[in-house]
Amino acid sequence: MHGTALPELPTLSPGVQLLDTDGRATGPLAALVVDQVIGADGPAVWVDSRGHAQTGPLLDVAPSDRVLDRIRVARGFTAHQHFALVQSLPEQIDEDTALLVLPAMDAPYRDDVGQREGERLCLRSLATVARIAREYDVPVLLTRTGTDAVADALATAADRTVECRQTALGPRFVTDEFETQVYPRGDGTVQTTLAFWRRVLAARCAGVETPETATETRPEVVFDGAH
Amino acid sequence: MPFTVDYRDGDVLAWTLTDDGARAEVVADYSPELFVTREGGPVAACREAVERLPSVVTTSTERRRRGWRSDPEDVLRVAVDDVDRLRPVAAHVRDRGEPGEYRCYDVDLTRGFRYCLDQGRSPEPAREPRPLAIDVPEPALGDESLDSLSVDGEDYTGDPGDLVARVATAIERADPDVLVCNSGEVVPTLAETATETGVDLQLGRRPGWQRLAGASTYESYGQVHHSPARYTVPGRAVVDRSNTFFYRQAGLDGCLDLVARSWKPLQELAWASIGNVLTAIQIREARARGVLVPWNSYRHEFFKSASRLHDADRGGHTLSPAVGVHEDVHELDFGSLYPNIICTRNISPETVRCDCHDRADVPGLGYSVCDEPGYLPDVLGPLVSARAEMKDQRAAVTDPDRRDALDRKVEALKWILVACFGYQGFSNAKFGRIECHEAINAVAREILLDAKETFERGGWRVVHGIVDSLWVTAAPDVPDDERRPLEDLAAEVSAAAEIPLEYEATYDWLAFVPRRDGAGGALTKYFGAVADDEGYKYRGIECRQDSTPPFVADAQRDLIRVFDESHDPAAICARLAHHLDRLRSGAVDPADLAIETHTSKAADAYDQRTRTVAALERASDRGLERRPGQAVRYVVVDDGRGSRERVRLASEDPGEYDESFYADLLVRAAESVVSPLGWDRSDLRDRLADRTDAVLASFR
Repeated sequence: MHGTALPELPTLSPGVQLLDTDGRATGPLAALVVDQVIGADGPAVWVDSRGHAQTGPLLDVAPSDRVLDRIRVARGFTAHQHFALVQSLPEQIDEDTALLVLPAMDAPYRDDVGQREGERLCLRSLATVARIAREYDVPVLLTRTGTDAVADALATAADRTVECRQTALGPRFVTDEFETQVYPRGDGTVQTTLAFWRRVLAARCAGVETPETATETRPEVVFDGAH
Repeated sequence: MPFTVDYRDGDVLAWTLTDDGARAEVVADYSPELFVTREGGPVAACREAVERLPSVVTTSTERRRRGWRSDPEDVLRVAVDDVDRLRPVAAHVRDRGEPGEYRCYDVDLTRGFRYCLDQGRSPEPAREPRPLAIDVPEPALGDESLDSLSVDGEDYTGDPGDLVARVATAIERADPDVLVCNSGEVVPTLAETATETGVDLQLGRRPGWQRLAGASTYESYGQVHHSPARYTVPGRAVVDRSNTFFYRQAGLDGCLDLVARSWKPLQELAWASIGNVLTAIQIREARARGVLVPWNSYRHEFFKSASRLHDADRGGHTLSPAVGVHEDVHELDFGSLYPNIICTRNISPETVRCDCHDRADVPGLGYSVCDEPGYLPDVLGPLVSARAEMKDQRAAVTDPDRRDALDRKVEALKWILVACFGYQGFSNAKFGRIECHEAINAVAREILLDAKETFERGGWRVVHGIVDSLWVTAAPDVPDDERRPLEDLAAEVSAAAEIPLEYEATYDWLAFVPRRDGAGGALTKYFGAVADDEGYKYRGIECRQDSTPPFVADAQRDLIRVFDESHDPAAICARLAHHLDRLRSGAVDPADLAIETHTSKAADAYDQRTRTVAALERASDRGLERRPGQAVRYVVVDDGRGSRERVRLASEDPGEYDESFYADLLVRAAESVVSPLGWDRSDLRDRLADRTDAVLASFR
């Protein structure tokens, strides 16, 4: 990494945080989850909605396929299934859990049921998630897809927001304490693409485990002299 | 045997077919029921409050199971005075307590089906029902007045009063049991016309008609569908031909077979989807096992590692087709692969990933499958064997009517069996479970790969394989005397898979079409000549697609005949030129150029001015409103224009067409035919251009 200090993804602290992205959250979500898992002892627990649990994006950034063994997924295809999955979380979570992820948590409660019932179920799910974050001291990461009352409830329940903005340089993460810097590649170009994150994560996990294969990935975007 | 069931003024009229018509039994004391369970406490806690609800007749505590995996528990039975009050009462109960605390069951069963289940009476008619066809032209179902119709296949024109009188007479004479209409709207249109003209018309066996459900639009798997309004008349079943899958696919015989298996009365069966009928068959099994039908399914998938998700998510297995033309190809199919996997591997929502076993029963996924017999094999087993028996019977029967009837019954069952797999992965399925879907897929994949290996070891080349079908041809590098007979290998594969691998067809030649982007073969696009037969088989290519105009489809089939004779792309191209000449000379009947598309949204919701938008606007101008999900048929008359002048509706009898637009469609269809021979569109264009030059040259 050109001898410079290793760039970092924002550290997810215990409590509920909302990942706010411009487009579909799949890529940034994968980078954050993989980063959290390789630095922790326990697994990430993923309650999925609307097909965000794609193994492709995870493998794109994972330094080793074995990381996938440490992400436990169950998909809630309807509001009621999602609700029941959240209620079953205490059986899945303990103090070692690295992270709890709930992508598009608002979507099933908006699309599958009447408004009143959707809001009731969603608020109850949020309360359960917040209680888990508190009791087990575990970081929780939510994303949302809408802008209505259900989506607002997610923002209200969150202790803080992690912003991820698509820039010409790739995705940039911003929190109150953290901002992705622009990283010089040493040859006059900079980039923060997901392929770049893959290399960052590979380097970061070197102390944790040895990657199976040192795959050479090309950056998705390279900007000459962009800074 | 209540053939059809009417709910009127709080009573149920259960109609039984008799030798001389039908008899109504008035059931005054029938109270539809729903059931309630509670999380984290006794359900009886809400009993007093529920009993005080205005529509509730009685409540009691019963022992039932809330799911296939569950033991019996105390549940609250709630009897209601009116079938239409079930949902409001259920919603009220659900909103009590914490979200998810009270859960309701047996809420959303269709009304006739519910009655039959509750009374334990099959809706299979005691005699063959008599159908009467009534078709009203579309404009009259919209704004225009009735000026023609057809009854029992006879066309009539005249003033509205006379036409309605024709219908009244036909109904009186025939005393039909089933009204088969081109649209549900025939019922209100005729009834209203009768009132306006003062003609006495009774469509049912008693006066009156009811609208059961309004029209609606819904989305499923990214596709928009339209569900037309449903109507019913007393004592007769109404079948809306525009809103029936099974009547269209399997006729009255096929429908009646499913009525007997699902206990959905004919009218409800006709409008039901495949999944809906499969669910009904499962609900009967659920009732027999004391299992309630959840209103909202809270049953979720179990947690698994992302790596297992990766393995499970791969879908049905397909080998890559060997693009090009192959001689002497044999097709072999696994009979009812998915239902047979379910039955032989005991795959069922309550057996996959059971609590009691920790074994890797499912290849590649490591899921356990319980030894206790699952309910799904119990449901599907009889359907698989019934279908096999009917196929055997059909082979032995000589009477053509009887053969046709058996064909339709076999066809009806086929669809149920085809759907049983996809249903398991359908998120809103009452009894589906995604892990079953994954397990079935994983087994199917292993079976296909094992079969491929067996054939290759036996001296055959597998040129293609899709889920349950294999296409094989003699491997060129293996001497004939070292090749094992196909029958022996099929028997070996069948025994290993515990599922029969059946001979389907032999082709003199079979052509696999490459993908247009050049990246290998299109998975399901092929055509070929069936051996010892005049016929051809077409899959996935233009002539099989509903949207292809008849002229283009016919021309493509003609090109395939030339392919058969010559295997020569130049000869096919010459024939294409002939069809292009006809098209350009204006000799093609515009009716043969109609394109049918299913709209996905309303005309004003489209961003671009597509042909479909132009057609929708023309339809709207004529009061023929098309809802998303409905079909519209049009002829392209001037593709260069952006306005509604670009097309004409097929019903407008257009007298002209856009030659170059259709020439392009034709060339595309021809490309599919020549591409297995190594030609692409530019080769066709070059050859056609040479020919045009040659024609021009001959005039010099």
